[in-house]
Amino acid sequence: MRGNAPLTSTKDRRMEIIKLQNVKKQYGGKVIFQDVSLNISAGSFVVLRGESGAGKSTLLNLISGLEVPTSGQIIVDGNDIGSLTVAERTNFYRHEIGIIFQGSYLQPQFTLLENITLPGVFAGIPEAERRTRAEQLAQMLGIFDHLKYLPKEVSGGQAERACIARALLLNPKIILADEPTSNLDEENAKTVLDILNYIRQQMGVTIIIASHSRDVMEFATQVVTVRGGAATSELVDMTVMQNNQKATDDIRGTA
Amino acid sequence: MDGYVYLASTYEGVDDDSVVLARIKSFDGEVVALTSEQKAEIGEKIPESVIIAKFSNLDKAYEYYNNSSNYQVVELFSNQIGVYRYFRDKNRDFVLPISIVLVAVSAFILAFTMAHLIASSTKTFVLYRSIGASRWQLLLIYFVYLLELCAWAAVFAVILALILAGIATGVCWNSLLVQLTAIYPNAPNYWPILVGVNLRCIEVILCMFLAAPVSFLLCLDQFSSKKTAQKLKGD
Repeated sequence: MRGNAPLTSTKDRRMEIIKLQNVKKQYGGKVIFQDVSLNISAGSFVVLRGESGAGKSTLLNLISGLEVPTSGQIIVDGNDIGSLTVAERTNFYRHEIGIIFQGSYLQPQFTLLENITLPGVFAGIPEAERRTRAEQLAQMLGIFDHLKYLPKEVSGGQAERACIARALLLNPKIILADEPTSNLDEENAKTVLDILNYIRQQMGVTIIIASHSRDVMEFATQVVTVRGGAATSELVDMTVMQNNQKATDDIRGTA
Repeated sequence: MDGYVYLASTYEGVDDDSVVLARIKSFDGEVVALTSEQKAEIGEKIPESVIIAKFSNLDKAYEYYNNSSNYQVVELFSNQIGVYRYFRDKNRDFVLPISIVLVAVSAFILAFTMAHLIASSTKTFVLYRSIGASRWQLLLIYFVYLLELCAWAAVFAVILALILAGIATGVCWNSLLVQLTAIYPNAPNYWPILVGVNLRCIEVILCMFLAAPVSFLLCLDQFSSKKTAQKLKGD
């Protein structure tokens, strides 16, 4: 898989796909975020950084709608997360967001193929269609030959790629990844990050990743630092992106 | 003895025989005339006013016998009604109360175990919700899962019951044989096997399946977004 990043100027005003306005989040008496305002453009590779317990996962959960803010507004692709009905929220998960959790959240009793096609089952997509899509994604991610195996029978890197494929099954606009490489060795971690960057470049998906990994910074177009109840955003110099092209190897070859 | 229950009825009132006949018929019995061999077996002259009713169903015969306050009813040739009453009383006074307690305790243990299983399934909840499962789909998945667990519990309960009944048969074989022979001296040799299925077994199994909706109701709040969010924080 090879791809070239669309090179644009640093001040390129791409459409904002995620907007946080004066978001506050607290659990009981403990304030996680006091007053966070943040904009994320479509097609960005956003890295959430911060110490453990700073609130990176909470921020991801807020953006994904798994948690609701104590106050403030979160708008994702034009949808105010806090005001979605239950049915709208379900639709949101199906078509807007793909989530990759920390540690491979694969169902141990299902094969990789069955795990990848799960979102299609819930969305009522016919079996043939979801199988075709899953196989296409597996081919792209280099795990086609492992689709019939159970999660315990594949490596950590392959399982993580299955998680990525599952998150992509319904063509989401945004991928949220919470420490996707924390359980992987350096080589597999690099491969997973390359895949995420490739997806962003080729499919225009916005990637938001919470990670302690240093390798992730070479792909970042925007860095959000979470500290002390605040989240500050910094756009990365786009010239850095040009160096990323050399780092995006043939994923299938390094599987 | 041919396995039927013969009850001799005399009515002590003034109604005619048609009342008695209708009553016998309502309990699925039939009026018969005794053969000469049967009369010889009784050894006494039977008054003309006595009506002999023959029943193939012991339950119905017992009902007829039990609801005959205005009649004098005597069982001929056997003591099936007496034995029936003996075991029925034993069941009512001993077996039934213990069974009810055991079933209730089992159902509650099953229900609370299932509630705990659901409460500890945060990862799966969050995963399914995040990949687009609607709340109804999530509820359905877990309800079917609970029904499956109940089915497995019922299967193992039946297997265990068969084993225990088999053991009881072996332990009580000789004493049962002695008792039955004393009660039915002319009967052919029966094998007193205590293994069988009746409506009560079905009722017990259904009680176990009741644990599914009970436990489901107990932990319905675990499916709420608020609870999921709380657990996300805990994780």
